[in-house]
Amino acid sequence: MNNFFQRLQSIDRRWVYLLLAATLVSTLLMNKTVDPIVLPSVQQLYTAVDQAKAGDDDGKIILVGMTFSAGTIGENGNQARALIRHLMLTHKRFAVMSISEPQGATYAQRITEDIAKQYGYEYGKDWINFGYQIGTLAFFKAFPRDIPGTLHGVDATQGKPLDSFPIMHGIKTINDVALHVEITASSSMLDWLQIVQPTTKPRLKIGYACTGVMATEAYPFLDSHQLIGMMPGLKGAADYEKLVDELEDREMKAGRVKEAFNPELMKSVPAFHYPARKLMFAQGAAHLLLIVLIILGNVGLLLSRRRARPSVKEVD
Amino acid sequence: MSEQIQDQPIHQRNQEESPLWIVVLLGVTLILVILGISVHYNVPVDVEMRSNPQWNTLLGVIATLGIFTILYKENPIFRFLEHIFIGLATGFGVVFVWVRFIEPRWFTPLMPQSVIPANAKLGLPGGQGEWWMIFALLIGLLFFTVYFPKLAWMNRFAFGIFMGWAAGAAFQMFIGLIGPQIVAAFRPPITTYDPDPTIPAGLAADKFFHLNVWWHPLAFISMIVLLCVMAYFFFSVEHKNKLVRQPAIAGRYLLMITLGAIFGTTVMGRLSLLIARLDFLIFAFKDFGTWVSQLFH
Repeated sequence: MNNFFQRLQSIDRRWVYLLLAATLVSTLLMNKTVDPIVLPSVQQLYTAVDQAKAGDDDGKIILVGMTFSAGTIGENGNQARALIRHLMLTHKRFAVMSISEPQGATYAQRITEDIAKQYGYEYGKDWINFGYQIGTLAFFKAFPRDIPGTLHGVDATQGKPLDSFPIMHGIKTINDVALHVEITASSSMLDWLQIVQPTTKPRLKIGYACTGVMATEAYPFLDSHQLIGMMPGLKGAADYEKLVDELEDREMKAGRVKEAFNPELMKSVPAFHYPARKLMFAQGAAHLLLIVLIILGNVGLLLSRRRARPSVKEVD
Repeated sequence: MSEQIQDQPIHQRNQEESPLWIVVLLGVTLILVILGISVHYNVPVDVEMRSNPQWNTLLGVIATLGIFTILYKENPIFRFLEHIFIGLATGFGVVFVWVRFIEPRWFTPLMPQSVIPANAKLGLPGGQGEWWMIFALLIGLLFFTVYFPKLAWMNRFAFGIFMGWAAGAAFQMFIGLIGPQIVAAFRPPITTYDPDPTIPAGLAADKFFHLNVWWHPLAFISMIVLLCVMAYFFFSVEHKNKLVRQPAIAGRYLLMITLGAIFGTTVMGRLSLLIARLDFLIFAFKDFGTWVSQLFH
């Protein structure tokens, strides 16, 4: 038995990779959905989006920053999908943009366009793409004071003047932004917090959707109310998706939405077939596997140490 | 499988690399490019190739599996794809920055109308002839004088401008970021009023023995943790006194808990990325028959 535990410590890491891959593939193929307990920070973000005054008659928009690339599409992409669905189900007018991440602008366009087809959202009237922006200090200084001027007066999708789009009528400064949600894999959120937010009165509401790695360090900003809510990693995306699915069910029962959202129809980005809640099932199984392996490894270590230590009889 | 992987320094690996691999992989690239061009030649596609997903999927599958080969062993296929990705990302970034940023915001306004005429169809004004924008380029070029010893002194102008600007802004940014943090850190754990809207998010305000006193347990914990961690990082006095040593030890353990939480979320995040790739691969293989027939139709 001791030999078994000792061998566990020297196991080739490639076996662990293989085991992990087998676990993930098999659980993904099971096609099961989890029903997660929604994190308070995700609920706060959901409520903030819900209450944001960015409807057709409010004269404001919600700004969605999609500052991520292909590397973190598994987390940020699912967050973006859940958020954009929520915005469309609640009929909010919004703009998407990407700071310092060229790929993010392309993803912003494709993800939003794919979802817009299912919810009947119209470009230029209900949503607009501000495109890629270089996240320099100059940009963050200028953007709050003159949004169209900083964007050089044109949108990123059609290259047409911003004032030719109905959604941009009356959108001049950051005061015309009801809420900003930064979906990011970089430190772009800090720029919004330290450059833009202190200059606004009342303080700009900022929501945060980050990768799991970045979540722990962001909690102090929630406590200080600098962030109004947070969607951490795939877990946050799954939680948010659950809330949005429940909303969609209610809307369908009320007859305001005809068909349920189908992620498989998102063809532009080939990494979006499963809903986040199904991906979380696989993630849960992988976590269990890792926990078991860690426990086995540690038990093996303790046993081998005990064996290596000379007993009292041997010392005598 | 049981043999241990020996990680070698990169320079050593490069020395051992066979030129045959370079030729083979370049050949594979060439075949893929020719295949891509021939597929696109007969299929009407838009600028971003969205109507031709089978080709994108094929490349994605090859690249993903090729990158995954590093999990078995260091190999030339992985290195080849690694370099492709670095090249692609750099090239994409450079072109994107020029097309979406420098060209419309600096180059076009700089040029006269005769060089870049207005586009009435799109409602774009064209060149503005704003010649003074050339100074931005000149100041930028000063950075490169560092390569010429006789002119190197000139780069101080450029550095001076940017350092002064950045230093002033950094001070303002620090206050903007840390100010609310300091205020949040000093929220009282016990109050004689109901401060529900002002306490940190998620805290409960409990009435204490009907004395009109509200106790905020999380604010209390937060204060203790703050003091302990600060004690750990307080190096101005030696940690001999019990009043400093004990909180400092507690602070060290609290930091370990935080680091553990960060590591946990890191593992979770990395797994999410792997799951997304597997999601892609599973659906790609499910559709394998369909897109192969489309490719060679």
